[in-house]
Amino acid sequence: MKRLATPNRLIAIILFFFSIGYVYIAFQIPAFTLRTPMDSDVFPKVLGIVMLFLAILLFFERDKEVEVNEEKETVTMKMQKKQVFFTILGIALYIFMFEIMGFILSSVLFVISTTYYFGYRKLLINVVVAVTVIMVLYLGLTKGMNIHLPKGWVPFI
Amino acid sequence: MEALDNLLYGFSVALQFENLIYVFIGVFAGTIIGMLPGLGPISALALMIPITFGMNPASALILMAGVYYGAIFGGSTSSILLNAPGVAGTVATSFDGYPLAKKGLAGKALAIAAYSSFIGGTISIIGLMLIAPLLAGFAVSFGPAEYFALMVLGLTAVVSLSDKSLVKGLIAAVFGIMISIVGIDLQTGTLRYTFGSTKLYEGIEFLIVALGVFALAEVFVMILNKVKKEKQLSIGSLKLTKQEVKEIAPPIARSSILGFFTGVLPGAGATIASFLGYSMEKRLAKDGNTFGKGNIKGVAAPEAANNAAAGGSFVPLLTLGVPGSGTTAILLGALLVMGVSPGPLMFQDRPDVFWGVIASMYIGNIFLLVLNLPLIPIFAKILEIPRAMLLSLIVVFCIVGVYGLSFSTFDLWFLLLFGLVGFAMRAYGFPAAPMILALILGDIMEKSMRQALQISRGDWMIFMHKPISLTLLSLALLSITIPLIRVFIKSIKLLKQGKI
Repeated sequence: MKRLATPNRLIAIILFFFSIGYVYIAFQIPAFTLRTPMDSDVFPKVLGIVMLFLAILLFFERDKEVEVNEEKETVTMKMQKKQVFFTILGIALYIFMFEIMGFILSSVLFVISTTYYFGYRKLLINVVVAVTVIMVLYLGLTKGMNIHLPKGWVPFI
Repeated sequence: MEALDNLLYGFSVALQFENLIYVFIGVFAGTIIGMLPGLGPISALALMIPITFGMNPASALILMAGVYYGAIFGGSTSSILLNAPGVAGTVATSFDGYPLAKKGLAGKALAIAAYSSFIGGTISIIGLMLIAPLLAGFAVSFGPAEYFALMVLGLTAVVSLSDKSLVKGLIAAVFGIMISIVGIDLQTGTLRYTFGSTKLYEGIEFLIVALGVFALAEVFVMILNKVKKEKQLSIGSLKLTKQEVKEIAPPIARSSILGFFTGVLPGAGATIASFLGYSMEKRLAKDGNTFGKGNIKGVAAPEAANNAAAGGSFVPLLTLGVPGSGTTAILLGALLVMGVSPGPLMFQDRPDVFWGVIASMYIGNIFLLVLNLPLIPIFAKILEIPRAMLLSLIVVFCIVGVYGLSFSTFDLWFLLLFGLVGFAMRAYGFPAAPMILALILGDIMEKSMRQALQISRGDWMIFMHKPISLTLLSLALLSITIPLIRVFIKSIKLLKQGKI
């Protein structure tokens, strides 16, 4: 039986509603007080309408058929998807702690933990490389190029 | 003959020991900086300005020209090895450069990038020297309508590269333009799609999107493809066979010329040049369907084009005092600080600066090749780092690159968001190239369109009345419709054969 909810169609529906929202917001953009041949809302309106039209075209576009071994996909892909999910969470936590803990601490912890999580088990090398690379980067950027990076909990550097 | 005399004079300036050292430092520093995402030639040049205080203007410009070239090549290195373009002009290099690296041919890709950059740069310097005044005159004839048409052509050329689905390519391009218009409309002061956030007033930086969609998304893809304990592939040989040289020579020649003329146009720059070069070669090649999978021509073309454009962008700067790109705008600032006013009088008043810079560009180009070829095995050592470690370091580099722009974690959240967007795009077959180019061009497109309409007092036919604009828009239309016509003809044939 042919799948009705193909990826193209699902994305097309999302884009369709996105475009409607986009055009709606474009109509809320206030007009400029002086007369101008092309006001600020023209481009957004055109873009939104074009996207709407493209979403409709995408809805009717055929998805490329891909043969998948379903059993294999379930076991392997689930694990990899879980890894991607936890990596995203890890990056989010890293960003959250970036200014609080400071660049050095947050980056070193991030590198050590994610490297270990991705399967590299030589902890000593992991720690040495993480600390060295991060410190070189920090010193190079802050002292060499005067780019400020947050010190956080390591203010003495 | 006069040009040769002038060039010899320029060499006498550039070959002074002090200036040779400056070229070397510039190229070396530029390469390292260009490799780091977020620290492209613009940042590097801006940081150089205080260093050049008190220097002779010719020497200062020589140093900065070296940094410019070096940074573009450095951007190519990270594009090829990590799929993390350090510089906008090297995004197109990653399309085939990174697949080559994955096949264990990183050394070859980097060597091709080095040779192509060298030849592209050399051709553009010859062009700069010989026809700068003529080209400057033509560039001035490009008004807003022509610029708008050029941007449309650039975009459609790239969209038509997405041979998997034209619709998806167009969606990506439109999405890119949508991102580009977020922020304050500089013409009217109106806020667009900022949702009350002051942090979005200045819009969304290109680098955040590029790093997210390319580098961060690549990290997620690598995790998904289960490359846990795999050791990295070796870089392979740097040597090119005779057949390979024969194969890349025509694309390099064509893309260099295309890149140079594109770079001459103020505002166009290395990015458009590299995409146009890539697009052109993909169309012309008999094996165009292998582009994007590790075709060496796909590395040679954009590399030749972007370095040629870098040289070309000096034409309007030195002859008119009008910067040809964002990077040359920084150079203009540097020259003004030093009390040198680029423009038509620069030929007469400061020939040492003008011809010294041109001569140093020849030398810088040679240094680039001589320096970087032996260092390729060292650069490629990056690939020997265990994948698990490389993934986490790529994330750190992206974070640092973006934070260094605005010193705000707000942008880091956007980086993650675009990483997810890029990942989704990869998963569902949406090409990233049109989106990235549209992001760069969107703002300029709208501005050019508005200026054209102001000149024509609201008459939209201005785009048809101007011959250059009409030609470019016609080419743009053809680039979209020809693939559609091909698909239509193929469908009719299959229908007649009863295969549909």
